[in-house]
Amino acid sequence: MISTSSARSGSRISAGIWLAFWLLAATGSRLLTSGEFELQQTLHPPLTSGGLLLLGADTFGRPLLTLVPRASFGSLLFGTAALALSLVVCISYGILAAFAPRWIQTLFAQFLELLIGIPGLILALAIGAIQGPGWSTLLAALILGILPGTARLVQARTRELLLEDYVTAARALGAGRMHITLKHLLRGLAPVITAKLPGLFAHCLLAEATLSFLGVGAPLGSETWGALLAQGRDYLLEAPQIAFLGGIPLVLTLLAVQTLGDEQRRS
Amino acid sequence: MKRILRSTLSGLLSLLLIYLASRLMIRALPGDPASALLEHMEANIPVEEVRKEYHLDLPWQVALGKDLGALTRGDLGRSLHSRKPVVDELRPRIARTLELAIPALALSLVIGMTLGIHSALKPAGTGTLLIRLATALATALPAPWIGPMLAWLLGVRLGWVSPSGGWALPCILISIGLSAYWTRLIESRVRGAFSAGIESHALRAARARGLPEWKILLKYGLAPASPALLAVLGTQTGSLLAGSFIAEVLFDWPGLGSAFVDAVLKRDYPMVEACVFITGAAAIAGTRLGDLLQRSVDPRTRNSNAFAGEEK
Repeated sequence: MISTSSARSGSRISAGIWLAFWLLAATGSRLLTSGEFELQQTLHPPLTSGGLLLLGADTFGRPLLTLVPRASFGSLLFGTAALALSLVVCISYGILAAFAPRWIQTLFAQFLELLIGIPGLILALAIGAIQGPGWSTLLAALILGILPGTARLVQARTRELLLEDYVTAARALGAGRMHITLKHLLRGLAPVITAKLPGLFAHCLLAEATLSFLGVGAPLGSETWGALLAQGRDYLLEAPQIAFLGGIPLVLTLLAVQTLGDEQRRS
Repeated sequence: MKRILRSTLSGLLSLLLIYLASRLMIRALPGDPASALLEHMEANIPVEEVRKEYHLDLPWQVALGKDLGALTRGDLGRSLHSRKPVVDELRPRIARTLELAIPALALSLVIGMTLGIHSALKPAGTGTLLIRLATALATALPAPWIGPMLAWLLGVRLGWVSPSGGWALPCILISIGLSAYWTRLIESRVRGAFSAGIESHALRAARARGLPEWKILLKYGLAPASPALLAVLGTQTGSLLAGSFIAEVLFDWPGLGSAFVDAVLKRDYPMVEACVFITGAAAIAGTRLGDLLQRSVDPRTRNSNAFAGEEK
């Protein structure tokens, strides 16, 4: 038993170290490098010259040594922003649904039921068809993909919280809905949401990579994981290092987030 | 019987809603839908023809009515690009997708059963630890990365399979994530059912008779868990298709998924609408079918209100 628990703490520590290291590297590369490119360096092979070109270059001649962390920064930034925004939407939806009259509750629930039935990828493609590819499509797809599960959870927990004695007491003292929401509900919802955070964050990162890869997310050539992977696939024969190096940080980050999430669930 | 009828009816209602929602996509286009449709087309199609063909000259209620009528005749309109009926274009594509998805699902179920039951049987063994590591890794491997890596390693370097267009690579890619999912699920469900029944007289009697532990696990763990697993199998139809779509695009497999993504990128709206409807309908039908199967196999769930697969 000792060995499994020490293995667990070991994996937790290495996950933390990786995340800290890579966040630093990504932010540093964004701040310190300019992202300029030279087309003469297009598809420069790796390990043939030193300096910035040590790992080779992509199709636009951007050195992979700086491009990979820069792309990570773009994806992580987008993932964080998208997660924050979807949480705001999900929590508002869930709380509104819990306060609403019966028939609106049914309507809200039916909408979620319909969404849950359709795979997120299909929704994303449909949105991509209407809006055209781009960041807003990616964001809308993420929010609609996260909404059913999270909003249901929020609504269920809110209903429980509304039956708590202290909420009843606050109501009896004349507290309004706004006050109860801000003072009691949000605080009561925090543990439930926190438990879901790692999974949702991993989902955001994965969705960005997949949708940008398919061509409905971030535009080609932008500095994100998905765009890098899309390029890597197109030049797999000439420059396999683009696909390989572009994906490694994503895999490690997903693993780290997943490990920390498992750990949090256990404790 | 009443319950089956109700479940079928609400399933049909969802199908109808999906169809209507997919039909309203064209109308959701910014500006004049008919000219928006043609904006990205190379072919020269008169605006008036498009407006008439997609009933954009009619109020939306009337147009939806006409579309519903067309649906009952199995008509989903014509593609803006090829000008051929969408149904004829998509039928061979669906067959190609199933060619991938069904073997991948079967393979994953076999792997999931074997590894999951092994882990449930020996929770503390070294094999189980390895299985757990492998499933954790497999769920963290994004398809757009591991797909090209497999193509490069197995296709280019080792030359075992053809790097693009072949059947093996997409099938393996779909199976990786799916196997990990089923291994985890089967392990936890089997162990849950087993520990729920561990105090029962039947199980203790079986042990006392000296039956091997794996036989006991199959009978008192897998058997009671399998109806719920059937229901999950149904709810997973949608994600099976989604996984297969990504693999199709990755490896140039001419299935429904690559038709879908192509249509999205080319703005071929009638095709997109049909793909949304077909995939959504398959996902909903899968969920309902799994639910029905579970109810018919497991009498305990017949009187419960909640859909077993949707509770989690």
